[in-house]
Amino acid sequence: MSGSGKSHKQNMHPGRTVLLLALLLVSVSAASALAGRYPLHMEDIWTVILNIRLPRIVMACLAGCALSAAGAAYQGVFQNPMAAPDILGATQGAAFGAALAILLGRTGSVVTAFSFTGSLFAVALVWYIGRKTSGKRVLGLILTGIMVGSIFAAGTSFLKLVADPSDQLPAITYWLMGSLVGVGKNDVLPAALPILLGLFPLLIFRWHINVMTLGDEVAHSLGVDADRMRKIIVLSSTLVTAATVSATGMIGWVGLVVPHLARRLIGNDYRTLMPGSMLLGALFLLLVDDIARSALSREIPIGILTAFIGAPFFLYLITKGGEKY
Amino acid sequence: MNTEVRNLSFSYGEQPILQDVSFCLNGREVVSVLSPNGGGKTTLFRCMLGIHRQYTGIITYDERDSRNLSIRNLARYAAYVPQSHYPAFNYNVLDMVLMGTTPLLRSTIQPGEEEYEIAEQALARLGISTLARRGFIRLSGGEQRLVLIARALAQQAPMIILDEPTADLDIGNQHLVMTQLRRLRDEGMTILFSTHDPSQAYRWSDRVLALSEQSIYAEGPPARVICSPVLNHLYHIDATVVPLDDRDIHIQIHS
Repeated sequence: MSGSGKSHKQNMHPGRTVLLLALLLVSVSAASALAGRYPLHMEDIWTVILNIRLPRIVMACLAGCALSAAGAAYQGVFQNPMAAPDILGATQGAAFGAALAILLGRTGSVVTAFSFTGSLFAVALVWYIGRKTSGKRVLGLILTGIMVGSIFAAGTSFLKLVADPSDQLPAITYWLMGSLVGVGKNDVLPAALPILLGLFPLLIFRWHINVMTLGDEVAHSLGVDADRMRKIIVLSSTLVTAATVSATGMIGWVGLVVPHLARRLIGNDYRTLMPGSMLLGALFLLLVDDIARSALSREIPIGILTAFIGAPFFLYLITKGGEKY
Repeated sequence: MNTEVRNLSFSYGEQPILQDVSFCLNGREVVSVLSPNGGGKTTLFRCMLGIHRQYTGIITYDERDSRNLSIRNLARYAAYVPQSHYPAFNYNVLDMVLMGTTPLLRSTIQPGEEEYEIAEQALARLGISTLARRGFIRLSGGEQRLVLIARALAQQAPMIILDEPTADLDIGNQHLVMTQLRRLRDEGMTILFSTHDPSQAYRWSDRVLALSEQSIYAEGPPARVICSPVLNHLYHIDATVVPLDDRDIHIQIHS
């Protein structure tokens, strides 16, 4: 990405970095449980921590982990450092589904279900159309993803236009910003199950993602069925993205910035990059959420904060120089 | 290992790319494929590697029909060194070579000690062990090519197919790469490579396949194939091939 490359620094112990991240995540999680805007009283300390703070901490970690893992995986199987979890239209589909549910007067878990379905539907559509494109498979999928994504984005805009401006429109707008406000005990499990289900193959096949970065032809000559492997990785990444976005709304930038930061810290080898991205993503979103709920007198939707922090940080990363990747 | 390509034909839609191509590779030889641009050598390689499977005809490795081999098993018969490619992400050399062991992985999901040993041996065989910790992207063109050959060695396949292995290299690196390929032949491997340079084919190969207009126009030892009539037919030129000695030729093109 960057042209100047003074340093040839290479992390000689990426495994230790991953371990360090894991320890850091555990300590920050513990600290987050104790931090909050309102002081805790002894009599209700456990109620607050278990029912309010813990679900939110778990959800922040899951969302950060999922988005970063999906971003890193997409970057690998599309041989493209700019790939993010929305590359195949997953987030735009989720947004459309959520907006539709809100327009139909639904709330809570129905919105989540609509959003999850919309997300999967959008990616399925991209996959189906993308396979029919002539020329390079990867490019065809990416272009189809951009187009289908923008169709869903236009659909969402239309739904906002016809939505009731007194209550529905603000609800849609707020949902689109992405937030962990009001995440409760009962929200965690339905999101956690598909996320964990999708993260598993991403971990199992992390060596094969390395091979996939070399391009389809070379992957094939190294004994890896590129089409099949991409299908597995895209399916898993879509599952975790859809589950995350439908539960939290649009939290941008995490899936692009965190994998890149992880590449700087750990290197490009997915054997350590994948677990590293997962841990770093969880840590990142947990910290941002701590800021979102504690730092200011009025809570800021986390999607706004990730963009405010993520985008400048990304610019810093790509202009700083260092090892070219 | 014996490799046989029999009556191979392939077309993109209506357009034929290869028609009725047949040849054998017998192991322990360097064979070059000489063809004009668009002559079908890349398609030939893709068919042999199983990337294209919708061909007609038969390709066998040790009498086994390659169509019946899984992608992974095919990778254990033929390794591939692509034309220079700029990877999307930088890997260090050892990891790059380690990727060659992927078809050897059985139940494990990532390389273990055994595979590391194979990768290190591959680097040592080409005399580039000192590059192991360097980033692939930062290497010179010649070094990169040697690393890709090491990766092919780590695959432990008896044959390496190379697509224009020296196309973008200076003559020093060309010599280095070709010398190493010849050494691998002496160790028993089959080397199949494509080139646009008749002099290179003349100097380095035991046998030449001249591919023209979708089929094999001439086949045999370099001294017999690389002659004026064949080159004139292949490249649509008016040239005279003047042998200088048993290794070098001069190609005089009359305008």
